[in-house]
Amino acid sequence: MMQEYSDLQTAIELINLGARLQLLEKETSLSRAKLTKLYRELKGKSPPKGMLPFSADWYVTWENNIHATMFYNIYRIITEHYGSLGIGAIISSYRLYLEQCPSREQMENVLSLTRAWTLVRFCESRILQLTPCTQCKGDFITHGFEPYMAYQCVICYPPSRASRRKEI
Amino acid sequence: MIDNNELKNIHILNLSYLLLAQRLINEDKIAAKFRLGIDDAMVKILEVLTLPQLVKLSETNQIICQFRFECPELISKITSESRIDDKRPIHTGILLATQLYKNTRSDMSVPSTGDSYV
Repeated sequence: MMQEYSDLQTAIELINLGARLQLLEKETSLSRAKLTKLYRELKGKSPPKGMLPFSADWYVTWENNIHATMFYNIYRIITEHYGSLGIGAIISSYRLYLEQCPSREQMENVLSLTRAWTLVRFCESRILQLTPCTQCKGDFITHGFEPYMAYQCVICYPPSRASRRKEI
Repeated sequence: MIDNNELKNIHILNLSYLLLAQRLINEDKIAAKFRLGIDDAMVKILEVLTLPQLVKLSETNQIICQFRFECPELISKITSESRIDDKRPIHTGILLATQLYKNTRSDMSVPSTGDSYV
């Protein structure tokens, strides 16, 4: 009973932050039917269907990389140093990330909660890792299992296509 | 010597900092540690200080909160003109967070009481 109540609280929080159904199923013990109903009540529409985004490459393209790096730097401190655990740590880190990177009006945030959650999985399995930039000394998300002797981050060494986003 | 007015401003800054820190701690301890860059022991002492105690802490001619940037080159890097100027705030966030991570002792590896220096 208590477990269900706290799962319900977590589910509501996650849905409000934009979580996909698959994430809710993994992180709570509520049934799919219950979660779908809850999602409809909160969002006023059915949850999106289809698979979760699963590409690790997404996190190393330049703007995504900056956002993923910001999120993961927060997540790393609060899990490794402050003892925060599990989905609660992801929620706290994501909130702090949103403060630093508020979404522009009418636009989706670059890093969705579901992407952030998947990023944590990728880092746990070492598919992605943090690598220090030799220029600014910040730790940035890169592919794992690769030596980076003279790594320069995407802000110190932005790709040529990167430029100020045009006002529309 | 600075005039009384500037000295007052320092006291006010110190007190505002402490009051803000307390509010942040009351709201969410984990987020407060991250925002303020302080550890668990410091959070525990700061949160219980009374207003007169905070005032006592504030009334010095030195500013009580530490400047978080450790190296001047970094500041010139973050503030220099660039075609990706809009990414500067998040770069600042990343650099401070990386530095905080490296400078923080893990709460979990610290012995549960601080008796060692008694």
